[in-house]
Amino acid sequence: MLKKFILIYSMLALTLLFAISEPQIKSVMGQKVQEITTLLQDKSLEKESKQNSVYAIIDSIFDYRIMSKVSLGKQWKNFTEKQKEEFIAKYEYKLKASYFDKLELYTDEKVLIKEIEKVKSNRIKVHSDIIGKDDTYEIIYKFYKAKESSNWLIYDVEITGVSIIQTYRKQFSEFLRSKSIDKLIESL
Amino acid sequence: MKQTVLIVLTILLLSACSHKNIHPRTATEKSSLSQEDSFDDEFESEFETTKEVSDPLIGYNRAMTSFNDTIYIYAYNPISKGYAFLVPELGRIGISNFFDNLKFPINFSNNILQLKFDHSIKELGRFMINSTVGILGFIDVASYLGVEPHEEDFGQTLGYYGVGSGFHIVLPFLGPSNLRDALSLSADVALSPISYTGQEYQIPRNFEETMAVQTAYYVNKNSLHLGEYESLKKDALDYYLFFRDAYEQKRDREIEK
Repeated sequence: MLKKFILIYSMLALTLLFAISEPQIKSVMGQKVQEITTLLQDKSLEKESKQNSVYAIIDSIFDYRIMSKVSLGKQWKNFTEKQKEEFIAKYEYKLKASYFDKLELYTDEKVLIKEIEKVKSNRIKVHSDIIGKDDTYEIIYKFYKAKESSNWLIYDVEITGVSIIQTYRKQFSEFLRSKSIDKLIESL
Repeated sequence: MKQTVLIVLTILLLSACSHKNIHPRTATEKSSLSQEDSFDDEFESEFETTKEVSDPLIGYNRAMTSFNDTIYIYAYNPISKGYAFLVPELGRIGISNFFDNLKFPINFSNNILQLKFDHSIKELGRFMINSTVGILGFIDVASYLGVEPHEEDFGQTLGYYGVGSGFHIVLPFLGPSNLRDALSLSADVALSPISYTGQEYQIPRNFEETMAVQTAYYVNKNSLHLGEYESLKKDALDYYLFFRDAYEQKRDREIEK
């Protein structure tokens, strides 16, 4: 039990420590993927502690606030501060749970970090492949550079060409066309 | 292979959201051109550019999605699970490789039609290596040797020449598609060794055999992707919209490649 806590907290401490700068992106991503793979394949860990450790790893590079904002698009401005906070919390939970859920399906598969593509001065795409049982899936992590800190954070993930944020954007805007913001938060 | 994954995986879903039309809120805020705004606008324009999916058949599509979902949950998935229990994974991967290898005529000719001659030569190389050294395609030796697949179908060929996707349409059993892709299916079926259109090299000799072979193909495929459909469906607020948009985005990406 104690071992698990130490593991989780040391990982948490480790990941919080660093802000990623541009030249580090590839190596940091490679390292994080390696950490996650090792965790998932560790049969001695309970599902819950695996999950918490994975969350700790991704929390430091995923920007849930930007994800929420972009997913809601123009509707964001119609949210009260309280609704925004509630939404971000629930959406963050959903994104993480769904990410972990997928990871569990691909426990034994190999991940390759391929190239880094600089789209423009404040956008970078990290291309990677998951080598599955009978297929290879292309996964693109999209980073943006935060204005003040010049820290690079992930604002979207694209799986075989499907943008997670884009698909949620469509669903949210469709939902809000006929239902209220509170209903949306509730249904997340 | 990539293109079939989602199609197979997404052998479809339910829906039935009743829509009441309420006027969307009008944004009253005036945008001052602060830095914050231009920062947000950058994201806004990045995600806004994606085209709207044309969906005049939405009523039918939702109904068909729900039909396919039922088929998936009560027939296709349990059969695949039973099959996965009986046949070891290694065998199922071999069978999947065997079927993939048979897509050679489709991949080869569509690469040529798109003037991707280097890719068509690689496909030819893969077919020759896998059919011989790879024992009738059961072992994907070519991939080990670094000769990666370049799959193309006729829908992608049409897209390559600028044919738009047309409206979205959900096919029975096969799942999400659009006008362009649904119509171009027949071109691929005509070439496919696992369908029956009178070619010498085709495996099935009649309609029943075609159905049997195709069922084997899809069940085997799904047995290697158990749980994925459920996991994706769980993520969505409205899974008809989710699978619809995911399909269209994925196809755009495949055509772009």
